[in-house]
Amino acid sequence: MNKSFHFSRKKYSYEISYSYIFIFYIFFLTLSFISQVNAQSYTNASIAVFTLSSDLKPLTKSKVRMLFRGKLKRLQGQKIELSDWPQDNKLRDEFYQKLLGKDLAQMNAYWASLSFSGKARPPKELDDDNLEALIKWMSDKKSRIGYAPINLIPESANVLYVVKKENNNE
Amino acid sequence: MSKKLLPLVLLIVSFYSFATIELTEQLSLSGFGSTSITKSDNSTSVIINRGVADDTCLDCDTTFGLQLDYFNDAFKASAQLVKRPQDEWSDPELEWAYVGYNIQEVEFKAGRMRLPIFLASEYYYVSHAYNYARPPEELYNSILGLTAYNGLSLTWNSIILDEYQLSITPFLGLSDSTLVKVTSNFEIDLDIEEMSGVNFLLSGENYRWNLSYFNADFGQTFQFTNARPGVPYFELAFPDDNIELYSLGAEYEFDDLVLTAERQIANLRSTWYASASYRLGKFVPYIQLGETKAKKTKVSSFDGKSGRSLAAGLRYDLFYNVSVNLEWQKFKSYNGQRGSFVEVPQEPEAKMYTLMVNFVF
Repeated sequence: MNKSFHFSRKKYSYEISYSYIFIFYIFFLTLSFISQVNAQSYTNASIAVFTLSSDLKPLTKSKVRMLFRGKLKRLQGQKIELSDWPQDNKLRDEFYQKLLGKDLAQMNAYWASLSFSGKARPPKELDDDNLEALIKWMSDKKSRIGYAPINLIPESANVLYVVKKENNNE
Repeated sequence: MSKKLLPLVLLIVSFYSFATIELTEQLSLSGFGSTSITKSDNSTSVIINRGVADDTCLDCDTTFGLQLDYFNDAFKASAQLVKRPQDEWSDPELEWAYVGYNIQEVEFKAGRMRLPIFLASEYYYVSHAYNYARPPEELYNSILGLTAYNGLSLTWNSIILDEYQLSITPFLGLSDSTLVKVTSNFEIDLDIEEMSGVNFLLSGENYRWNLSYFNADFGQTFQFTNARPGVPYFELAFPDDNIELYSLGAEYEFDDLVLTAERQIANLRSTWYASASYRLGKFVPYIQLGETKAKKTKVSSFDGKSGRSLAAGLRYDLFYNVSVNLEWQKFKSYNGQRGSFVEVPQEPEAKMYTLMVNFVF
């Protein structure tokens, strides 16, 4: 069956000078700088990658990096589900900066390449920005993994890896 | 709604739809899009399916895709509907619709899928996922304009030495047909009889290596409408043809520097590109160089260098899911060939300017 394509040169009766293009661009930049005002650096405790199940054993840094880059979908025979904090949560930015050296925009572009090629499902983004929401989501399945400041997680949590406060995770 | 306003509305909506929409725990809806203001200084259009010429163009690159995913443990179903640059809004393309099943590290898929040939083939339409405004034309338009196929695939994933991942994907495609509109009076009716191939992808901490083999039997018919006075229509048929293609590509990240190069060698044409980008906070300046060598085929007896392009651009992360590209690109065709133009141009050079906005949700 033939499909109809409609590719052709598109003509418009008006012209837009390149100066307008640059004004348009500068406008976008200005908007963005305004949006950065609230994105100041954030310092907090070490971040624990953990589950609520005792089935999984501690992970190497390499495995955790692969896990949060969508390259590893199973651990010790179990299919894993990951969680993420809402996009404006500063812990999320700090976690990816420390673990993978990437900011939110880089991680978003990276996950776009995976999810829009059908290779991996992005981490579940929590609706609520609090630890109770994470614990509730994780308690439904043993194979669910989350991350949070180590001083806030439940004592019974199974810590798989710690992303340390200083940038030395070895 | 005006078709010109629609991309803008979608862009604004994306600012408020920051994440994938989870309809249920197992069903999610996500999407992507791009739109641009672009213009070249040559009256002959460059880049097939986009067709940028010397008139300011507001919809040469406009793309919008929606993806619906269903996950249920080992079972997965997914559909992606894309208004590609060449499509009207009223006539989008079902780029994929497949079901998949996982057994340990092996995934079986059946249905309509994206061709896994080059590094970015499977997210070709998602400009937000790469630094350039468009994937390098020389390589990504080299497989007869095909991006999807109907058939079966199997992907075997393995972890090597705890830190490398190797994915091997053999695939088999069934017969398919498509019509490529090259100019207003020239179309190519492409009939794929069968296709097969295999893709190897090796990923490490800071690199990806991609190796592919692709083979397809096809026939094509060139259809001319009102090409000459008094001749309303005529066609030229080239049946029983074959394309055999090998491609090798690599991408390395050295902190903020990303180097990418890919090459494909086929019996119809051989092409390559190399690019470098460097992240400076939210800015990513980049350059890209590509070249095409045509080969003697049933359609043309020419064998030699036919085109080259050089691009320089700046990407800016406006929001975490919205990016902007400002790009300059120069195309040159050689030896009376079309190169990256849609047809042989009168002037062999074109300089193209683009301002593009990309988003995902």
